[in-house]
Amino acid sequence: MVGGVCGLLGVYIVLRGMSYIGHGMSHAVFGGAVASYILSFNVYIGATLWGFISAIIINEINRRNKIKADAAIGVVTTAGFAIGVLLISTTRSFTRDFESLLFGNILGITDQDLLVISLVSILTILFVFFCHKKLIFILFDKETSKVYGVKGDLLELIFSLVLAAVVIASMNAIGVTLLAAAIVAPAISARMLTNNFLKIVTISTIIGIATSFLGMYASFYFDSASGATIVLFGAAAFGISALYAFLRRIYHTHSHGDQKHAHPHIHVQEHQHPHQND
Amino acid sequence: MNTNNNICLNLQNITYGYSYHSPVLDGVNLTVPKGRMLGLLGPSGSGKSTLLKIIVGLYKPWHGSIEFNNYIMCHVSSKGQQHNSWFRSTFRGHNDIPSIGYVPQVESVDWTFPVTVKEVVAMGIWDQSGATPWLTKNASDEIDYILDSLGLDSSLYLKRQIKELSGGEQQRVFLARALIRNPRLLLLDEPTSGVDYNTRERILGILTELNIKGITIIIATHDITGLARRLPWVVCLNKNIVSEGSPADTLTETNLLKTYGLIDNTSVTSTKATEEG
Repeated sequence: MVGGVCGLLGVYIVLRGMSYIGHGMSHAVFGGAVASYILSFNVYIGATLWGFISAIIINEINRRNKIKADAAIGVVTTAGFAIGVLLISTTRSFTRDFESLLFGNILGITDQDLLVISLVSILTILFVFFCHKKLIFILFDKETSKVYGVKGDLLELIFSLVLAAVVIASMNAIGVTLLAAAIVAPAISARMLTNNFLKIVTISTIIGIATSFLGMYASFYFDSASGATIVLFGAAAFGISALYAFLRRIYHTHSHGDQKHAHPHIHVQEHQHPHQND
Repeated sequence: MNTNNNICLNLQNITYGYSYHSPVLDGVNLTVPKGRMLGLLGPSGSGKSTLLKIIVGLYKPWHGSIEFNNYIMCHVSSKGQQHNSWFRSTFRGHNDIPSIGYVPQVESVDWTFPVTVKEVVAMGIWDQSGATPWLTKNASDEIDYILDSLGLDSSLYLKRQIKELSGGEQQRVFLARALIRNPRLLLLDEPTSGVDYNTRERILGILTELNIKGITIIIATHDITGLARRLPWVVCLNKNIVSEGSPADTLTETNLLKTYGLIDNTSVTSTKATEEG
């Protein structure tokens, strides 16, 4: 489930050219989680508050567009992470618990975590379902979308908030340091395979779910860290799809008169090579 | 308020710039009657695109007012006070309000983004085609019809990626996205930049046809001979309106030199003086 939602939202993030935002957001949220833990707050409430605040700050800095988004994200979120680390270092007794936050531990998931994950999944699916048209409009051509009345700034803010929610929900399972790959890997893998937007979204979601499942079982079997295993499966998926896309480009089906065939060749501007029947 | 029904667009004293104290547009006054096809001519940096963006509401002018079909769309007094019009606040997005179609410069969109022709045209009616990610039957039919009418066979083009198309085809897809909103006023930003002779002729033909159907058209261009000279009405812009009228009267050497900034107003008067002397 976590993998699926990450894969779904990841498409929009990657196509927005903001792959780094998932990485940043997860680090920022870590600070909030640690802080609320130490203040013996509910971790979710603390992390959510913190995540939403950093989402708003990143969004605002990004909108003023003097600084590139990745730089803005870098500063805001690393600061959030640093606060978390700082707080941990002052209260050493908790170190053990935070390891699951950092690197993920699927076995440590409670019923409450499951509930949150379910709710966030539904929220994300609803958001993507109803805002899909507006999202592709602002991603493709932001200026014209404003002319035609899409409230792009508001939508981007909501998008950041949904992302923060997804990050928080998946934090325990995958871990903040590894989450970025779980968001980005399925999306770029899917992007390599097709140009059709709806197909990208579907494939990405499926890859997300599949890699999570495989990763989870593998981590159980090999007794390895769940987050790391899932992420490695994601990376493998990307490698395979990149290889597939490469091979497909070389073994391109083409026809000469009646003959339709495929064999390795490199496309030059106009693909020409001798054949017996030509 | 001017209630002349023949006026499509009325700009009063529009001033706007990207940094303080150096306006790109300085007190532009322009009245466009309904049904006119107008070329906005000027060098790069003369404020053509900026003026179009102000008309469609992307930028708020420092001061000045914009009236469209007798609705005040934007009015900022010289003190910088803004009077939010009832039009915007009450009727924005209402179907009965005649809309403005905007065709941006092709450079302004993200070309790496994977969208099909159908999806791009559908963006024009994103608010009228249902809340689901797919389109209503009505909307789909409308998209087919519009594409066919622009000479893009909908059965062939609908599923193609926008980045695979030629410059002229892309331009027509963007035109379709604007036309599907049924606009009374159509603004195009450099529609013929980077396309070949045939494509330019084709685009000009399509626009002329649309104009005959009653759509008021404003085309920003820097192409003097290929486009501007062949439009019925030309406005030369460089910070403000240098001159306007039919191409024969407007595109004189002096006016063009003034528009392209090669001589300023003072030297024009001095050359005139020497000519007279």
